[in-house]
Amino acid sequence: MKASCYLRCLYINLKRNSLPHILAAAALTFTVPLVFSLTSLSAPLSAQPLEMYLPLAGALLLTPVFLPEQSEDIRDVVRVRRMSYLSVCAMRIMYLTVITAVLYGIITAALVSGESTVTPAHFFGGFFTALFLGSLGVAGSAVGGNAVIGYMASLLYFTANFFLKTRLGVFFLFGLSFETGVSKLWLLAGAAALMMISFLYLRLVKKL
Amino acid sequence: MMLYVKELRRVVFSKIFILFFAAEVFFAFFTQFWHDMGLSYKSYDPPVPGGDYGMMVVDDPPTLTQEATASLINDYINNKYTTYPYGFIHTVHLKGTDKDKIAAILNKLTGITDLDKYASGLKVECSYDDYNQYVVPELGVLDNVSIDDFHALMTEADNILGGGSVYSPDEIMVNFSLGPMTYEEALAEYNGLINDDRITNGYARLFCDYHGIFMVLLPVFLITVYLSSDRRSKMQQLIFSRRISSVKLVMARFAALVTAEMLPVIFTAFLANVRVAQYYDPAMMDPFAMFKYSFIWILPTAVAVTGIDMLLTGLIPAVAVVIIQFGVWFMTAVMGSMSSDFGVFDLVIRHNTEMDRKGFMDNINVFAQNRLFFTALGLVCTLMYVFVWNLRREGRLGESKLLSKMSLHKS
Repeated sequence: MKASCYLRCLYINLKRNSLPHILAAAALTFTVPLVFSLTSLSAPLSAQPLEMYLPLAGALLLTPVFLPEQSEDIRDVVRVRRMSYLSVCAMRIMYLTVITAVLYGIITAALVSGESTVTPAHFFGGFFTALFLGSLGVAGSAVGGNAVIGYMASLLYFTANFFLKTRLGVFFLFGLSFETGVSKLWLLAGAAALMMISFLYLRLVKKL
Repeated sequence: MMLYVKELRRVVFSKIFILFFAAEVFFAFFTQFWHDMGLSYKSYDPPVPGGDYGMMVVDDPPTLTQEATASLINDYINNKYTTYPYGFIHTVHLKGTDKDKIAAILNKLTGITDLDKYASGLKVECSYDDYNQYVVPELGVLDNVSIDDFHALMTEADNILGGGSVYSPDEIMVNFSLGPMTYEEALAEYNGLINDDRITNGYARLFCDYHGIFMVLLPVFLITVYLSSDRRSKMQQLIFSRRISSVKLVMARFAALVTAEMLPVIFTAFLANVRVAQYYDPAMMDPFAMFKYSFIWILPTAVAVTGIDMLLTGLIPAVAVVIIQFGVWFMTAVMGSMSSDFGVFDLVIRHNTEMDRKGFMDNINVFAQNRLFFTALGLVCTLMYVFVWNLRREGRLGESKLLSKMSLHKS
């Protein structure tokens, strides 16, 4: 398939499908300075906006990745197209991941300019947290067949972190804020595994 | 009645209800109430003389005014104020007129005109994160202002700082006016729980405190998925064409949803009784307290949330309803105050202890007004949903052109 087809598909998806979700995630990002102080923070406090608030942008962006085809009618139309449906979903996940990274870059830059203690671990740790939360939403949407169930999975897991804290083990989202010392690569691996399981489920069980 | 039973059966045998039920039981009960009861430091025995009974807010104006004013002086000298306006840390550095306003407040409280000169004579007690903690001598605040003026000035300082500081009306007493609880006070609280509350009435307030938090969030998933099931199963047009009145159908669905939402509460009320009976003599317990409180405390929350979410689902896409509901819940429950004070318009009522019967009963009129208000709000929203549903049925309200253009698909 020609690259121009993919480019056109990317443009249409961005404009017709992802725009409201991108606007919502951007609005959430711009409320970070209102909710948190970003100046003169120690390393654990700098991690708070990146772990306890901004990961919701990941959930907002990635969870509705299957939303347009939730309607059976649209799914039937997509099925007869030459371009594989799952490759379109993978493309959506890729550009939404890039947008999530950009949003994290904005807040990390604001923390740096506010002379807070920020390391690359803050950026990557927060970003992996958002990806994990988003991938929970993707998995919930894929298995439940409804974006609302995806939001239920990601938002409830986020909420569980406030109550269960370190009892969540290596998948505790606020490790940098609580200085647990657990690598955030666990969250990245978890995100990759959840995405893979979702796609395999849709391919092998749902025959998409 | 038959329609109600039919709708209820549809709700409770759906996959989303199983998820809702599991989430409500797990989050509101097992991770909170059940877990709290097993904490190692909790004592269920009567207090003994000479023990440590914890701290409590005391009415001691000289201590309050001295400690709070000394803290404000320290913050002013360092020009670093730590606030929690939305539950998360916010460091405020004042400049210009705002800084002068704090200086003026301190001047009224202490009579000190030049705070920089005053600071140079103070000794540093300790330092942390670029913050010097100064030892502030006795200030005699009450010689300069009355206690009411003191509170008004501290509230003004809190407003200058943007709210959420230790000087706010909600926080000032718990930060600067704490004293150790005496044996007599601890014994009176214990006797209140055993004799007046018959144990379970006190624990029922704690039980409802936790359920109240999650009953604001979790029903939205059940309601949005359930209400959109007609469209997903392509039954909507068929239902629209039936003879049944809109009021009858919507009210049956509303009642079915509220009943289903209360099922995990009733189920965990049984478990809560069992849990409390592990620590107290069952013969002294009120066996109906958990159920009684569930109906007067949690049912109005379920009614309000169901009515509001039904109306929103009738107007905007389901995913948008979920995001809005989560945002509101996050602002009120996680980022909001966790204190026991509540007003008529607070959907989440907090009372995070089995003790303090008096504190709750002193506020019982506000509690009653609050629950009546939210019950009425839920019913009004449901009636408005009947109107919206009827418009859709008559074809007078279709998909929003804007939403359709933005591909905010109905789900």
